[in-house]
Formats: sequence, structure tokens, C-alpha cells
Amino acid sequence: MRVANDEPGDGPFAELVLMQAEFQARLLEETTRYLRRLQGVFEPRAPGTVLRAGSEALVSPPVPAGETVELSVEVENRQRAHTMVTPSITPLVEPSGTTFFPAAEFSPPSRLLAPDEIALLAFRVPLPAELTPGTYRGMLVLQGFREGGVPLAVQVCPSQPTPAP
Amino acid sequence: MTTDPRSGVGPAEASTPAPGQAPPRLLLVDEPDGSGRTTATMLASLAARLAALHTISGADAIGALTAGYAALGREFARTADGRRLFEAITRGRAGGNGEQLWDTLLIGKWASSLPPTPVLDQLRNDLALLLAPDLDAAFELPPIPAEIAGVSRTDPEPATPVHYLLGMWVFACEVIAGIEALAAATMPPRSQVVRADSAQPDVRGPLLP
Repeated sequence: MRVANDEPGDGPFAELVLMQAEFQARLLEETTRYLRRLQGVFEPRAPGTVLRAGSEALVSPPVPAGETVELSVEVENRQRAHTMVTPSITPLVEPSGTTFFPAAEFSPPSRLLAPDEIALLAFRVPLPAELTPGTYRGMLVLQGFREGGVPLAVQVCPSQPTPAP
Repeated sequence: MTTDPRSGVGPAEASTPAPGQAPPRLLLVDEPDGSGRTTATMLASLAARLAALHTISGADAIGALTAGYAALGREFARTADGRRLFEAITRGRAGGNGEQLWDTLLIGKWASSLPPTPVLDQLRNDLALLLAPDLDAAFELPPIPAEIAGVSRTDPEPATPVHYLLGMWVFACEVIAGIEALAAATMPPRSQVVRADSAQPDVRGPLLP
């Protein structure tokens, strides 16, 4: 004798069972998510670092496209422990919408700062020849220090025509 | 001060240091809502992290680390260099295969449900402990309970394979730079000659009478 299962969707309770199964699966998923977040609340905290920038913005002097902008900032470690500093630059956007992804070269690329030490971070931004004149704005950020950074504006001026001999 | 007609930079930003003037200074300070980075608090945090490993599952620990690398990669992807690396990986085969592995093996669902571990903070604190001048004194103190992450803990966010790779890259660069900086002060030159000490007497024994 052969007893076949009902086809999926047959029977008066099939839809109810399906909904119940979906409900249980979702409940399990949300409960797990909640428990993991709760577990995260009780995890040990890693003391971190916050970047406090002054009101000054970093603005380059007007430089023609094809040349290189050189800027620098000082970083002072006011914590009681050493910390690593790794600077980076966000994409720079011009008001017309042109976005410039600079290939900035930092010197040094990373720096280990002792307590109360002040370091100079210099960086060079080569401006591509095809960059249209304007002011390109972005941020200088230090990786891993939450939000915050220094507003950065790179001014690109029209190239000076070469005087005829 | 007037606006530069060539560039449109207004007075609010016209704070470029003049030649010879000190550049802008950024301050690195402790988080306002914590006890700060001291040898004692970093040691307590490390000890608590090690202790927590005995109370959580391996899946939770590795998942939180994976989420931490992805969060670091997400932050790095906002920079120009990070964006370039992100697009390169996304366009290549690694991006497609990564997504496939991530989805099929449910890695993304798993890592996205866990609060990300602050991997860079932990690394920097561990490096700072290695350089701490008062580590002996911190060990002699009564054990300090580590602060808990509390509600300030970063909530889970979607973890993608490309962000995870970016985070691993940033972390690896930081490890290399950090270890090189630790060793820099006492690093011998790469090219050096060590001469045999002629004043030392020969070792005599059964093999070298």
C-alpha cells in the first residue's frame, strides 16, 4: 500500500502551516540578532582616540593643473599612550560636480606618536593636466579615528600661457 | 579678507598659513565618554578581551572580527585611495567570486548580524602596551574591570566581501607600519658585519680536543 504526501498547497491548513513556519524562522532570526546585539553591549570596550581639529581649513594656494600641491599639518598626541597616525584624503569635489580622486603622497605614510609628541605630516597632491580650474573640496582624515577630519580645499587656477620668445 | 576671484574660496576658509607660519594642528585626544587610553585601561581591555573568548562561541568571535574588518574597509572606502581599491576589486573576478561565496555560504548574513569589533583600536592599544614605560606598575595594581562597550557600541551593518578585503588591507598595512615603528629605535643596520671575537678561547671538549 502506498501513502502519498499531499501536494504542496493542498489542504485547508497548508497555508497556515507555511505562515507559521515563516513566522518561526523570522522570530528565530530576530531573537538571535537581538541576543548578539545584547552580547555586544557587554563586550569589553577598547579605549579609542578622537581627532579634534581646529577651525582652520587646509587651503592650498592656487596652483595650475599639471603641477603639484604641497601641504602639511601638525598632529599632536595629547593622550597618555602611543598611537599610530595614518592620514588619507577623501575624493575632492568641485561645485560643478567634477570629482577628483587625488593620488596623494604622504610623508611619512604612517607615524607612531609618543605621548605629547608633535609630528609634521606633509603631503603632495599631483594635479592632473586635464583638471579644470576651480576649488576642489574634501577632507583630510586620519584612519580609524571615528568621524572628523580637516576640511581641505585645493585651488586649481588656469595655466599661465607660455610667453612667446 | 576678500574672496579669491579665481578660486571662489571665501573668507571662512581663508585661513591658509602664510609662508613660514605653522601649519594647522590636529589634536589626538581621549574619547570624552571614557576613561581614556592609559596603560591600566588598555591592559584591562586586553585582559577582558582574552577572558571573553572563554564565554562566547568561536562563530561569534570570528563573526565580530569579520564585521570589524568590513567596518574598517567601509570607512577606508570613503577615501580616494580606498575608493580606487574598492572599484578595482569590484570590477575584477575577485569581486564577483567574493559575492558568490559570501551569499552562498551565508557569510554576509552571519557577519552582518554581529556588532563589529574595533580591530584598529585594539591593534593600536596592543602596540601602545608594548611601548608602555609603566607596564610593570600596571601589573602590580589591583585588577581594573574593563569598561563595557555599552550602548555606544556600533550597531551591526551590512558586511560585504569587498569591504572586508579593504579592511584586511588597511589592517595589514597598519600592522606592518606599527611593528616597523616598534623596532625602529633599536633596529640594527640591514648590512652589517659581525666579526668573530678573537679574545674568546676555543671550546674544548670531546669533539674538539
